[in-house]
Amino acid sequence: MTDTVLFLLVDGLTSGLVYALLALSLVLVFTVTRVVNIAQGEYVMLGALTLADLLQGRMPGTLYLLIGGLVLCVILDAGRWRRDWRQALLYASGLVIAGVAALALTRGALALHLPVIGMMVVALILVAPLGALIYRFTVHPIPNATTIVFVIISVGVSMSVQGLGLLIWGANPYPVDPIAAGGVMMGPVFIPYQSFAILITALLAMGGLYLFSEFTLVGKALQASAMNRLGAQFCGIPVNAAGALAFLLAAAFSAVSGMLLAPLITANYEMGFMVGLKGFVGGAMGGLIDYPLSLVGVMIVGGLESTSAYVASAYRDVLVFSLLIPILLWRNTRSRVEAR
Amino acid sequence: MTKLLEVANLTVGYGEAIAIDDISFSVARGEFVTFIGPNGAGKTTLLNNLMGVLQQTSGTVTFAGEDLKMLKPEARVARGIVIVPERRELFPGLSVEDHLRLGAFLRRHQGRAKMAAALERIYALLPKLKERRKQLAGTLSGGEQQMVAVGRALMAEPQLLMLDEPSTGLAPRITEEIFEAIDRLKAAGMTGILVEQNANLALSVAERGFVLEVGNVVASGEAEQLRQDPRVLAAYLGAGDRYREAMTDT
Amino acid sequence: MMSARARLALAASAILLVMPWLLPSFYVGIFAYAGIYAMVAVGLVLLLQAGQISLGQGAFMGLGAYGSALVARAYGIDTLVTMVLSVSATGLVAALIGFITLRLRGHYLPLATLAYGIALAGVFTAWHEVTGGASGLDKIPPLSLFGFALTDDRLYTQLIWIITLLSVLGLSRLHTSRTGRAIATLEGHDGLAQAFGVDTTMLRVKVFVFSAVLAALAGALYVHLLRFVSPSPFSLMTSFKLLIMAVVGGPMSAAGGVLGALTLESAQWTLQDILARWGLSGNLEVIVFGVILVVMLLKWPQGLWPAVERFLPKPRLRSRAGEGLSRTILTENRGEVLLRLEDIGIRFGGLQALEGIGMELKRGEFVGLIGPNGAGKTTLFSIISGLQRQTTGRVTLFGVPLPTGYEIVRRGMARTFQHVQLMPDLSVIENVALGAYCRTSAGFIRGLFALDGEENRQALASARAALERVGLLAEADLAAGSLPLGKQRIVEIARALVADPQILLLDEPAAGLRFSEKLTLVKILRQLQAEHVTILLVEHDMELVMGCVERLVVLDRGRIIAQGSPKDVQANPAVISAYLGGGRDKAA
Repeated sequence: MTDTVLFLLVDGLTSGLVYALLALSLVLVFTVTRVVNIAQGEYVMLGALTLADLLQGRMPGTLYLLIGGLVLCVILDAGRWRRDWRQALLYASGLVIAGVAALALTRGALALHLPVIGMMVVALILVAPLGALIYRFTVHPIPNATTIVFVIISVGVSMSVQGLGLLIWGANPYPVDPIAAGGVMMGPVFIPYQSFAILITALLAMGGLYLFSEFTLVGKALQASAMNRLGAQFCGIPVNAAGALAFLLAAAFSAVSGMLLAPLITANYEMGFMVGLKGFVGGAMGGLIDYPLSLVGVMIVGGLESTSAYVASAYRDVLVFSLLIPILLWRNTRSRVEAR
Repeated sequence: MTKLLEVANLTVGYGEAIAIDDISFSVARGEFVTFIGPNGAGKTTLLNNLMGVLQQTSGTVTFAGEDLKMLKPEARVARGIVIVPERRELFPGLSVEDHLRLGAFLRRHQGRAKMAAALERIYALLPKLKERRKQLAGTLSGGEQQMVAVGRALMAEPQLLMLDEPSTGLAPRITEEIFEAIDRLKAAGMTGILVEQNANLALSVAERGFVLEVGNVVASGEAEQLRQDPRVLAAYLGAGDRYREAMTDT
Repeated sequence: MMSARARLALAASAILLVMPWLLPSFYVGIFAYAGIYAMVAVGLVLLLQAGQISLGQGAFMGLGAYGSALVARAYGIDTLVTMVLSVSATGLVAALIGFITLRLRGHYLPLATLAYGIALAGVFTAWHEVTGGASGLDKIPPLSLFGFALTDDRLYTQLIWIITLLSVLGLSRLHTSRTGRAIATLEGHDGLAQAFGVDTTMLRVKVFVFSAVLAALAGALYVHLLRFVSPSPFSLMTSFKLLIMAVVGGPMSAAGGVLGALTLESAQWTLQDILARWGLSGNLEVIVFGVILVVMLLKWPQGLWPAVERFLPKPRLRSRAGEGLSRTILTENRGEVLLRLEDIGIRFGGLQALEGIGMELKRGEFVGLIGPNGAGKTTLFSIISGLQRQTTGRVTLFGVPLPTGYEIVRRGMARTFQHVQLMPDLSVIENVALGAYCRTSAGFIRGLFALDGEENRQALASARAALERVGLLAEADLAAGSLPLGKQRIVEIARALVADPQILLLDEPAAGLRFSEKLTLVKILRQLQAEHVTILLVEHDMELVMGCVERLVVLDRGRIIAQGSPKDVQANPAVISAYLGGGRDKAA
């Protein structure tokens, strides 16, 4: 009995930590931009598959997405050329240099056969900017749209990115090496080293975000944009850049979560969506605005998931998503009380 | 004196609704002017336009010789146009000192020493902020919040400081403290636009005043003259007779 | 006599209904699916019109499908019966879910719809013993009644399209009915709907249930056509595709749902064809769908329908001839107190926003409520109009305590809004007719089946009369959003008048107007006063206020500092110092 409980605890904690990174991303994006990003899970997929490619010595398809996105950026800004061609040229050449740098970095990494951690960093550098690009394409043009419009837009983004994933990587699953293979017996329970890696990486990522937000002025500016958009503008904080930064950081966190998750379940083009939504169930606990409560939420999701996998595995997702409605109702009554 | 800000034939509206109707004025470097008038006169709209958060329908705004039209708020802050907004627009979860540092966000590359010196200058001007420097803005009293808003704006090293209703909702003693700080800034040569509903207060600080009534400048002049001008009271309490006359027509 | 538009609609319907016999048999199936999706998309368009969203519509399709298929398969009951049962059961489930989730605001609602969409779809797979799990169940009986089975695919397709087209017809009727006007208000703030007597919660649930019923019906028709049931057609991807159809067609008209479904289905088959030629497999068309969805919302949030609408003849307007609803004769009994405020106070956190407010509004009076910035006018106005509850004190309207929310207008007090709240795409007269909502009764079903003819005519006739009263009859059929602001504000007054109020609350009716527009406004207000309408006016333009009210109530810092005639108030030193402010006492 204790074995089972212990096993479920470790299992629940591991998946809870993976979802925690997602919940973190969702809260960050929502507070700064008011976008409920259904597409957040797709970065999980991009992170995992990019890492899979790099580890197997292939040029990752993500690179083409990145370069395509940069080109589209230049095209969308065509109007600027007429107004101020110098600035536009500077901007365009910046983007070109970014593209070339990404290409060089990838080639270098492949030539050097970096270890898993090194490749993770390279994958992160390739995936994170996609977040900022998607912000540029979908949120930047209509900053004052309603929540519902942004939700529908993110549904569209999710479909497109998932389709692109299928186009680039096909439907086959890819194995991904863990940071450290093997594991250790802790009493009666076998714990893979990857679980420790997940724990450490998740804590480092969360700690990093905390340090960035609390001890750098840019981090404070990001917080300020989340708390009061107008006030931030009056300080000279470019709120659009803050939104793009939030999307970029969120993409980075989600990609890390994908790279940690992939060795446990193998990577494929569909893997991200559900993970993203489970991050939502957890994040909803904190109303998408409260980091600590979101962590509580994802741990509940992780625990429920591993327990139900044990008791009634077919109903795992049903139970997790049914949990969302009581959580939302609880939040809703709470926010009403606060409003009074 | 050189003109720092020149506003010509400015019209600003919200969609179809007109809030500022074809006004022109200028502010010289080192001058403190005030816009007074009842609520709904368009004072806040004017400042929001100058700040770049609300575009004009027509007219031009020139600052230090440059047309501001295409500039975003952050670009205006970079040029030294800074506002102390009416609703203060603070960040409730950040500390007083965070606010001040964020006020200097665009000068963040100038190094720690300059930042520290700038903070000390603000603390010298508004000593209460030093006592409260670690406290979160959401937990401050109204007067302290107003001081944070002033301090945050000053950290941007404004060329033109715009104050929107700094006395709203404050007890007279606190108002006096804030206005003493404004007096000192003025003495140090700050250029400013003060928007106030409290006409007597505003005219005691500013050198020149403009009386706004539903989007139009109905009177302007030296502060001393305006204090005696019956048109000021008329603007507030509607002494005009156009609607009563209209009744007798029909 | 039919209007040109009706003839065109009939011709288009005839083409759609003959299509199954013209198409090669392979395409008949595709055309049937298009009809099924169109049916669901039409329901989603109604949801969008009401400012709602569903990311789980596929799950309702699935409930309808599994319910009918499983019962018919297990017990051999006629499928028409099981279909009716299953669709009704889904309606009940939707009512329950709607009642729970529709109270959610902002970003919670779409998340909730996503959650039940996934949870329900998950059950179809997980409940293996009953549903056959992921591999599904075959041998589902065909559509049948009294043993007669409908097995001809072409006839079946025609049936699907008949139902789809009838739902479009019904919803177009609903659009110009009492309930349709109320649904149009749901997209905006609840304040407007409630001010005219709309029970927004109930109406939202009704809209939600109706769209779920259409989805369930479509799902049931789908399984009896395919005669095989499995979870994949009711997955989240289907819900997303349906949403795209509704967005592509646009929320302007129910026909947009059909347009969106046809566009997307043909796009899908064309794309799959092209992709297959390039040697690519899998659902790659979703890349394009996603992009279409994003681009539509960024560039054409109204969808494709407006582009079609431009080439269509105008619809025949519904009758507005004859007598309107009866109007209360207002008497000139000046002594009667209509509205009384006693010792009103309200606190926000630590701030006492209002304290000890006592005032009365007598029959036929024209009272202005003024005060400097932050005096508490807006708060007091919200309390009087029922949007906010006071912490202490009592408000009595016509001698009884002020009711809550949407009951107020029925008692005879109507209002206008500081930020004009009209439905910009509806005509002026439709906007004004919303005012009659509380005085008429035709509900959702009567609207759908056009059984509200006489009542609707009366409401429109009243609206017409009100427009005549304020001098805007010539603009009756223009889109409300196309009028200049001054006229929009007067349309708001006309709308309030249709509610037959004894008291009219005006919230800054002159804000943003030009002088000539203000003059028109003042003339209308004076005329209403002459007709013994009691008016409470909150306004910033002092010259206007002073020029038309009889009595003023002046607020400052949450208290009443003066009451009296304009002349007295203008000379009152307390008022002057409240407005101009105390000077500085530098010595202190």
